[in-house]
Formats: sequence, structure tokens, C-alpha cells
Amino acid sequence: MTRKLAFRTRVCLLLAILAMGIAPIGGPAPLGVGTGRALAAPAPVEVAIGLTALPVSLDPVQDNGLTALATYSLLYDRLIDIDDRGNERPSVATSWRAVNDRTWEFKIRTGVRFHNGEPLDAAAVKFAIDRALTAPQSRFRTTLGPISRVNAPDATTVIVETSEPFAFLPSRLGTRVWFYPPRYFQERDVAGFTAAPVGSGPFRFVSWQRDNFVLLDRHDAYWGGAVQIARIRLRHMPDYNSRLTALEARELHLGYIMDVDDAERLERGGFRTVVQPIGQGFQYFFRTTIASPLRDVRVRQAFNHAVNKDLIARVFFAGKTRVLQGQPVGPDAQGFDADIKPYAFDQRRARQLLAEAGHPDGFALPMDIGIGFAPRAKEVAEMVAGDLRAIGVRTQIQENERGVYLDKLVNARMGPMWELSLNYAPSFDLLPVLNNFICDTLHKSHCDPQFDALYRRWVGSFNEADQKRLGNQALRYVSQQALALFLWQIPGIYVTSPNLQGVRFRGDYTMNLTQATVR
Amino acid sequence: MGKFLARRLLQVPLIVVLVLTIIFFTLRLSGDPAALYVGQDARAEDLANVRRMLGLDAPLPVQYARFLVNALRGNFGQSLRYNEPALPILLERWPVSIQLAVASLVLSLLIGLPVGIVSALRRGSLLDRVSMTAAMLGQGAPVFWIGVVLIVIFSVRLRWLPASGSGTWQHLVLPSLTLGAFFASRVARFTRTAILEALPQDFVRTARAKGLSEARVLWAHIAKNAAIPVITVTGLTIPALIGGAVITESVFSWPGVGNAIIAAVYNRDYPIVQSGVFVISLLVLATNIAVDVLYAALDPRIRFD
Repeated sequence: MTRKLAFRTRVCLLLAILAMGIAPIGGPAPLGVGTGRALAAPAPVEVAIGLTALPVSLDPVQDNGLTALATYSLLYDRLIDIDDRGNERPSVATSWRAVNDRTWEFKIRTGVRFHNGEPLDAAAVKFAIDRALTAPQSRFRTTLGPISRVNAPDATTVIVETSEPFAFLPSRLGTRVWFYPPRYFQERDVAGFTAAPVGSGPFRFVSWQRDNFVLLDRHDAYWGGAVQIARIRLRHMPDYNSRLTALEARELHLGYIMDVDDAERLERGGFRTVVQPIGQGFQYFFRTTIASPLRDVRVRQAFNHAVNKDLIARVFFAGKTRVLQGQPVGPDAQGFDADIKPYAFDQRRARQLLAEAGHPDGFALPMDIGIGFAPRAKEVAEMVAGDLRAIGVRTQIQENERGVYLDKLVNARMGPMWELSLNYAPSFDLLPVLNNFICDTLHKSHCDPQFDALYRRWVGSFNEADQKRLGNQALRYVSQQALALFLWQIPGIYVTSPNLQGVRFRGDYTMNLTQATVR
Repeated sequence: MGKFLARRLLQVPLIVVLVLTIIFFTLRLSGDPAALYVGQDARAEDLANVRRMLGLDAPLPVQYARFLVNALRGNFGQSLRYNEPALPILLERWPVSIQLAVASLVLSLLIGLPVGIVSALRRGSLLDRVSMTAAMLGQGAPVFWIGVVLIVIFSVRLRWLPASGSGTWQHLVLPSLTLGAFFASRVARFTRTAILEALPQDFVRTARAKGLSEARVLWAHIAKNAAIPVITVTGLTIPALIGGAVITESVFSWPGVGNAIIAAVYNRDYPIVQSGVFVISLLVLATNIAVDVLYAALDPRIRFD
């Protein structure tokens, strides 16, 4: 009898212990949005936004990814902003000029304060730039340009010196470095600051949980004007279907969607879709540095003529993105040349060029694509392969998982034709584009000393007219040499709920919520 | 029992080292983590700097030796992605993962045990057929499909429960139902089989001959003897529920351990993957030992000495 009781007691005890585990333990605070209509705690006016990723840290030097910009831009300010057409706009810097070919001067806006009341002055700007260049955690140590020294001679002036002429310093530095109060940061150090960050942006920090959510409240004294939305919750939702169902369940007011068909379905349910082309030109790079028929410019041009880009863009993106006009950037890039003639879809001309290059019967070619970098990459590759097959080129699509793809890229192991979403956001200038065609790249796709010389003159040119002319020459070289199969800009497809209005999207995945309202 | 336990505990470090060795080398076969840390327009010297900073410039055997020495001290290094010690980053995810695992386990036992028992006692009946068909579907249907169906019904259509996120009991319902459906089916099938095996045994006949009530025969004799396979399957289920609920976590944006490990694999964040595998392998070993001990506690015929 005792043993019988003991067995039952043990079973009951086990179940009781298991049941105790159900009680929420250490989870985040309950969501105001997302608990469904019937659960109905009185809903605060809170806008929930589903992002593909939150930053790895709220310390803004620790994440240099484009996906982090959406969060940082709400919490922090930077020297220069980019509007929804890709144009530079003064932000914390009211103006900037080259003092000489190695010195830049930025004038800092007066009266701007951080959320904790500290002034955002030249000293704060210098502190943030210095830290971005030197902090062990910084991901910007090598990406801001050849900066040798930063000075703040007075509260409204920042002088940046470079070790060599670098004409692109304002856009590079101005769009990448975010500001935070130096005294507050020094009192808390990295961990303390990351736990409770302070910026000067339209929203101030409330709470966050890594890879889960960031909660921000309106900053009532925002220097850029009154903000309408009281609270926003940014949610880390890397899974596409999860974002989609959360939108359908009305748990999100705004979400980034990758599929036009899904966006159209949501539109039928009352959502609004906004398509903002991103500052990323989707293309297939040609490696002219390795043995393949693609070393011949006629073959590269033939490929550009053979592919029906408009049709593919219509099929996969309902025509809602911009097809690249024979160059690697869209019209939102500073330096875009509207006079460059795009490669028309003309398979007869393509076959003729192939024949002239000595390949009348075509050839076989491997084609490297990456998984998870661009929407519909696999389907697009298959359609491109179909068009190339029509001119006799038999491509073998090689799918590369993200890590493998990046490994191949940085170690110059890509095949003769490989997919690249060429990123020119957040600065929207030609520098991050054209520097992919010089000899000294990691992927080693092209090497022409003449182009390198032109590139160097362009980067070191401070005369505005010269810079424009040289940049245009370099861009035309890339176009005429057909160094890539130019396809389209990555479309940023956003879906917003009917009660959210006034959001403006930019081509660097950031959004301007200062004028947004929610019913 | 003491000797058995000592022997099993002595095996733990060896198995853990073996697992860590496998994961160390397999991870390094598939890509250069430095590639994820340099920008698109980086130069060779930038890449070299990153490799030096991450300690990836040393020969592989040196990296392995450093890793093992540090791992034995409980130091799995700094996460390459988060710039913070890897183990605490992973451990901060455990509460939500355990929460989901416990809820799913309770659910699967609460559903699976009675269904299995009733099906066995009413073998061949309509109830048995319906239950076992449902169990087969529960095991056969992909977890993501069950998750999506539940979301469509309860979140999108009815708006009763949240489709994603964590933090309240409402958030727990759909993921635990999704995960629990699979394991409940398994528990039900195992329970049914175990009881069917116990039913014709002599001790059951003897118990009935003694005049015991059917309930007492069931609970005191049949259930106790049928418990061992059920405990085995439950024991094996626990680590899978905590570390292997990747799909469920992904479908419901549940910020648990499985999601963290998958993201780390995706980003080649070796320290996070290694510490995750370390913790999960410890969990598997601990559960296995606990199950072995439970065998002996439940069945006096089992002696490990």
C-alpha cells in the first residue's frame, strides 16, 4: 500500500513541478499590442513595427548593418540625413565644407539636447566619431574613411582631418555615426549605456530585450518638431511568415514584406502598401579576372541584351521596383547618369555579339547565387538562366548558403558570374559602388589599372565639377564594359495598417515617423 | 546504483568534449566568420585585421586548443556578433525556452497519457480508432503547418490569441499547443502500446483475481509497469523541447534558445553555437541519467549494479 501511494504521489509531484514551470518566468513585459481584441487590456497608443532584425546592440557603434539603421534612426541623430529620394539633408550638421583637400569643417546645429538634457554640441560629435574609430566594439573602425584627427575648436564647429584626400567624407561619416551624450556614456560605460541608451532622436528609450523588442516613447522636446505617436514597439521578426501573420492578426501596424503577392493580399484586407526602392542595386557581377568567356566585353554585353529585365521585374515584383538603366545604381544615387543608354532586351543582338566573340553555339557557365540576400533570388536566377539559354548559354545555378556565399566573396572564390545586391545606402553616393570595380577588392571581379587611376583621381578630387566629371567617366566605363548584368533595385515593400498614416520610408530601410499618426 | 551513477557521470565530460570537438570542426568547414564582419567594400587589410581581432589568424589546431582550455574553464569566448561573453547571452534565453518546454510537456502529458490509456482499454473501439488516427496526424503533420493553422484560426480569424511574441500566458498558448501536439501524439501511442503489453500479463490477472477494483488494477499495476517506455520517451523529449523547438520558435517569433542557436549558425557566431551545444548536450546527458535513475525507482526488478 505504501509503495502504491508513493508511486501516485511521485506522479502527482512530477506533474505539479511541471505545471509550476508554466508560470511566466523572467519573460519580457506584456505587449500592449498583439494580445488580440478579445484580451483587451486598454490599449495604449502604441505602434508596433515588425523589423527583419533589431540591432545586435543599442550602442550605435556595434552594428553597421543596414537593418540596424531603422532602430538607430529613431533613437539617435547623425550629422547628415537622407531623404526619401536619396538626397543629403542637414541634420545635426547644418553645413559642411572642405577647408582643403585633407580637412573638412562641419557646423553643428545649436540648441539640440540629448534626452537626458546634455547638449549635443561639437564635443559630443567629436566623442562619437573618436569612439567609432577606436572602440574595440566598433564596427566602423575601417569604414569611415582615412580620418586622422577630429577637433572641436568651439561648441558649433567640428574639424575632421584625413590622412589623404577623401572627397566622400561628409556622406560616409555623416550618415554612419550616431550621437549620444558623452558624460552619460562615460558614467556608465558600454554595458550600462547599452542597457539604458540615451540619444537625441524623435523617440527616447524605454526598454528592450535582445532579439525580441525595443520599446520607445515620444521625445516631447525633439528638436526636429512635434512627434505624434506616443509609443513604438520595434519587434525582431526575422521570419518572414511570422511578420506576415502578425500583420494579418493586426498585431503589427507596419511590417517589411518581401513578396508583392502577399502585399496585394494584405491590401485586399485594408492594409496599405508602400514600395520604396532601396539603395541596393541587384545584379550579377562578372569576374573578368578569371578564365571564362565573360572576359570578353561582347559576351558581357550580350548577357545584358539577352535578359528581359522588365518582364522579370513585372513577374516577381508586379513592376513595383526600378529596373537599373544600364548602370549599377538607381536614380536615387548621387551621380546617377540619366543619359546612359540601358541595354535593350534584344536576343538577336545578343546572339550576334556572342557569335562575334567566337561563341556562336554558346557555352556552359556556373552562376553563383546567395540564399537569403535578395527577394525571389532563386526564381529570378531561373528566369535569367532561361533567357540566357535562349542565346545558347547553359548556366548551372549554384546556390550558396549565407556563410558560404560570404566566404566565397571575401576570399575571391566566386565563379565567373555571381549575384550581388550592391549596396549604396545609407550614403547614396557612387563610392561604395565604383570601389567594387578596382583591383584591390576582396572579390577580385575586375582589374584595370586605367580604371584604378581614374577612380583614384575621382576620390581625391575636391573640385565639384571635376568630381562629377570623373565620377561620370568611371560610371560610364562600368556601363560600357558591362561589368555586371544590371537588373533592378531591391524593392522595400512596406505594409501599414489602415489606421497608421504619414509614415515616410527611405531607401536605407529607415522610416520617418515624426509626422505619422495612428488612430 | 552508486557505481552506475559514478560511471555515467564520468562519461559526461568525455561525451561533452567529443560533441564540442565535432561542432568545432564542422562549423569551421563551412565559411569564414570574418566575412560577416567586413563591409562589402572592405580591403584585404581590413579582413586581416578582423581575423586577427577574432583570433582566427592562428592555425586551426591552436584555435582548437585555446577553445578547449577556455571551455573547460566555462569560458566560451566573446560572441562574434554581440561582442559579449557567449554563454550569458544564451543563458538569458533559457527562461522563455524552459517556459515553452514545460508548458508543452505538461500539455502533451495531460493529453497523451489519458488518450493512450483509454485507447488501450477500449482497444478496437471507435474512440481508439479516432484517437490513434489523430495521434498519427499529430506526429505526421509538420510542426510549422500546425503552427500556421492555429495562427490562422485563433489569431487571424478569431483574434483570441497573439500570433507571435512572448511575455504573457496568452503568448504561450499557441506555441505550446503546436509543440505539444507532436509530443502528445507520441506519448499517446507509446502509452497505448505499453498498456496493451501489460494488460495480458500474469500480475494483472492475479490482481484482478484478488478482487481489486479495475481502477486500482490500472493505477497500481498496469500503469506502473507501463510507465517505463513512457518515461523514456518523455525523457528524450525534454531536451528536444528546449533546444530543438526551432521551427515553433521561428513561426511564433519566440525568443528562445533554438532561435538563438540557429541565428548563430547562420552568422557563424562560433562561441554562441559552441556554448549552446555544450548546454544542450549537458541537458541531454542529465535527462538520460535521470531517466535511468527513475527506471530503478519505478521498477524494483531493475538494478544497475
